[in-house]
Amino acid sequence: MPINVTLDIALAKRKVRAKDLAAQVGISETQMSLLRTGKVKGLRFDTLSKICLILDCQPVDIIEYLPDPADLTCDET
Amino acid sequence: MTQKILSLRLIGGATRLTAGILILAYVAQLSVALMQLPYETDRLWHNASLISAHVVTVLPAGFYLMALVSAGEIFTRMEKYGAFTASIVKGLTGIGENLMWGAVTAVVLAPTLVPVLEGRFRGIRWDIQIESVTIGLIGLLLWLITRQGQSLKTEVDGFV
Repeated sequence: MPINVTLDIALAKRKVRAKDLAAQVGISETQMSLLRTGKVKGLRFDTLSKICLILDCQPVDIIEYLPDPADLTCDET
Repeated sequence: MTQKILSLRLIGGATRLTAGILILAYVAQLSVALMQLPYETDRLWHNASLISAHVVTVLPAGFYLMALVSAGEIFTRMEKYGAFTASIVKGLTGIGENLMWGAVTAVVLAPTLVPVLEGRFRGIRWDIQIESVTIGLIGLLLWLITRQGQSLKTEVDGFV
């Protein structure tokens, strides 16, 4: 599943610390760390909305999709 | 939300109160029964065997009451920590395990241990009572459902 999390870039551009963002979004630092490293199974819309609002950005600034034909046959649950 | 918390608190409190009353009744019943056993003077081993045999026969009810206590604790935990947390999984597992132990005690342990305590061991014995087996199966299924719930929670926790 080639979803690449580019949150670190968005944070660096806006000079916002991950710790502060986690506090504002209302998630733990551990969850934020997992999100930044792409080690999560999914991102809730409300979390995404909060991050976009706080960083004044769009979802595309946080996550990107790298096309992979194997995704059509992928049946991971 | 307040109404939900109130109802959880109410259910938890009522369950624990009921469990407390039933435990007191259980202890009182056990005490009365122990006092009425045919004890013999200067026969310590005989008397100890009588007590042990009686306690073993009423042990399943103790396990079922512990299951009820676990159920009451679940509602308290739900109120404190939210709808589905690790502690609730633990509580549900506790209910399942207590029901299973109660059934195992009623079906196998008591029929085996009572003759042993009465000094006439005849191997492993069992007394298949439909109600005990049903309760045990409910406990087993609850325990298995909880295992599934645990994996579901792990899946949900993967979402940020």
